[in-house]
Amino acid sequence: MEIQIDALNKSYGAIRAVRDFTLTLKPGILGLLGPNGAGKSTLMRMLSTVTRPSSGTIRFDGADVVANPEALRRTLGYLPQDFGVYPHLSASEFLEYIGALKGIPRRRLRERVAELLDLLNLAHVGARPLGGFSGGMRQRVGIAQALLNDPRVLIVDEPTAGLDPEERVRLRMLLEQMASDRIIIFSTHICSDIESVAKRVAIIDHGMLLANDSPENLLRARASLEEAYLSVITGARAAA
Amino acid sequence: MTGLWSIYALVRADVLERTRCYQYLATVAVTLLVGTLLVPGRHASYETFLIDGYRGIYNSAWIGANFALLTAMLLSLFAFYNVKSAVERDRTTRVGEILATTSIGRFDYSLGKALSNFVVLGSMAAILCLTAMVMQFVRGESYAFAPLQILIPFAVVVMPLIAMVAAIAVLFEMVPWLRGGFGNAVYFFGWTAYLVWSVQDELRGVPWWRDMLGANLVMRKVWEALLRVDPRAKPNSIEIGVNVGAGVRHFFTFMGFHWTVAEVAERLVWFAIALCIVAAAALLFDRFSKPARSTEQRRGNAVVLRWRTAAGRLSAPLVDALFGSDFGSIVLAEFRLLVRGLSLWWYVVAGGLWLFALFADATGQSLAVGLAWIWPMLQWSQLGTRETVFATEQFVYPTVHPIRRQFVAQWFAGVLLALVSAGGSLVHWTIAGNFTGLEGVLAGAVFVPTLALACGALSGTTRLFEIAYLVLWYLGPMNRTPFDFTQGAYAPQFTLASVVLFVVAVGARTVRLRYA
Repeated sequence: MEIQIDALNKSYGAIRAVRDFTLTLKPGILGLLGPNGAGKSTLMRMLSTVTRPSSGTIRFDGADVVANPEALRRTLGYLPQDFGVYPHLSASEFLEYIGALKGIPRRRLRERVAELLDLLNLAHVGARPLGGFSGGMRQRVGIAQALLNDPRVLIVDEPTAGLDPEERVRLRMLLEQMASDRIIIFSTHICSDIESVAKRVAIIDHGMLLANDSPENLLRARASLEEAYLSVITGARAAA
Repeated sequence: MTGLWSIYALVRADVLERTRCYQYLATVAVTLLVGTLLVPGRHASYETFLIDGYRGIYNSAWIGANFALLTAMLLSLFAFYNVKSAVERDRTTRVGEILATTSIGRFDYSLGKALSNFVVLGSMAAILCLTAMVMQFVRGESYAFAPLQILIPFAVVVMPLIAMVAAIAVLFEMVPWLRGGFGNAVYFFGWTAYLVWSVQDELRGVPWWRDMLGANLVMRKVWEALLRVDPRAKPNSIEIGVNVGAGVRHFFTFMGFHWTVAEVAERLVWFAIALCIVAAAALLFDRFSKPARSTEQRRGNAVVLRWRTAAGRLSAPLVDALFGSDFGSIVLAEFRLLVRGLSLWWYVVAGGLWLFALFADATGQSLAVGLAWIWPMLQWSQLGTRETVFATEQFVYPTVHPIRRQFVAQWFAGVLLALVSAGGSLVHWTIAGNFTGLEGVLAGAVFVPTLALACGALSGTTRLFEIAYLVLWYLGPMNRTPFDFTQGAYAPQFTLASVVLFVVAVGARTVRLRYA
């Protein structure tokens, strides 16, 4: 299983959000790092078939995702950075709704929703309206919806936002467990979130891929991933 | 197609989300109230459906005809605004971004949203239908209960119509420029024009495609029944809606409709047309590929941008005004927020209307003022809502005296815009020395922004004002009824109404400040 991103570009008028981005993804966690406005979310929106690229290709196991998004959608889990819920639906109802749209058969769906609510420590509030949920609880509902269809490709944009330290650890462990046979793209600002779990780390700034390496290689001769990240970013900016 | 299961899930979630909020309860309450008002008692000061002074006794057949006709008119207009938010909800809540990654197709999504609209509209129709049955016994003119005489007109007349309204609402949501307040105005005027077109040939009958509301069909069949009782009954004196002062001169017993196959088939065609509209909407559906922002949020960003620009230019006086006593600077800043970002064409049309008002004769003044009150409607609709819509409460509410200064300044800015908009008429009446005319314009200039402020402060959205105002504008300035807030004769009433609305607005904003 692999995703091939080749010469991907996305422009909004005169602004080039993603430029000539080329990357091949294999099973495991790819940590995506970059400053605000670097193009991470735009890249993820294209990978998750929400937005079409201006040019370039995305292939999933050889299938052109831009021309045929269904090739990826059936097996995709996506947690946007900034997402909403229907405040008057309960967590169970909301997940059943998204699950049905993802094409999960009715008989299996209720069982799957219960499993995920349990996994994400939401079983006790599953019947409560989402409008009363805290930010962290809502974030966990978002993670649950991304996992509903047992995705082979999981794209999570800032998944730890709003989670308390214990929940962050739980999420990291969950993603690590899932990573053996899935492609997981984990975008974040927080280097420590991906340092221990990512198989590879991609650093992006001004829409360009600046580095794509293992955490071990990036950490070589540096005290932390944060330091490595800053070094790559400042180096690229100085060169520009 | 991703299958019926996905569409069912979409409809279910959407309907649950809509019907669990307090607005729906309010809608149910209003629907019940309206239902009771549609069957006025014998001594009521108004009538709802008369043909040449004839009214049927309240048996099941007449109640069925009366309700089918009036429900069709009410649901096709007011309920459109109630349901035109299904797609917008997915944009504003950002659930759309998640939906975009699922397998649901454009057509399935559009169909699901239209069906959800249909269910919500259907629930209102069902409430009215049940109310109709109850009201037959409440009025007690006939106790012979024939439920099919009530149900069948609903099925034949109302159901195809609400299918159309449900589909049109989805279409409007898919077209970017029809999503917001402009679309609301387009629908209102389109609906009015279509209604006039469908009944303008009296009861001679119009082709089916000119009678989506079914109003002509119902009236014609009732009139045909009436002709059997009184062959001299005139079809050109039909009164529908709330007709204050209309009196029943005669009663007759309406025995019910006899629908022909052709008539039923013609009504059913509207379901097919609705499906075609859904298909067209699906073609226009962007699958939330644009960044998930609502029209209002986009406008909000534009305003924030404008604010930044304005703040850049005005930063010193603005800051002084906030902490000093220069109230005028805040009014000016609020005024700039109201009008900045408008296109050149907006000003060209406003200028044209201004000149028209200046030179129009006394007869033309009613139209001139009416148009001057409608053109800046979308600007006024921001009053009282801007902080909620653009999520700037956290900045505005903690400022010094947020009601006494900012909120009142916002109201002043709205009044100022009204005075500028109707400036042509003000100058005209001043030159003519007609103080009654002047009084009317001034009363309107205070009333309209105050209504906007009150609606905005109460609801936190622009929609309440846009709908209430369009209806009032149609009833008043365009039809010269006692609701005409531009006429000097009614200036005292509207001045009093402005005071009441202003108190309501301040009260609503105070509550928001307390619970923000």
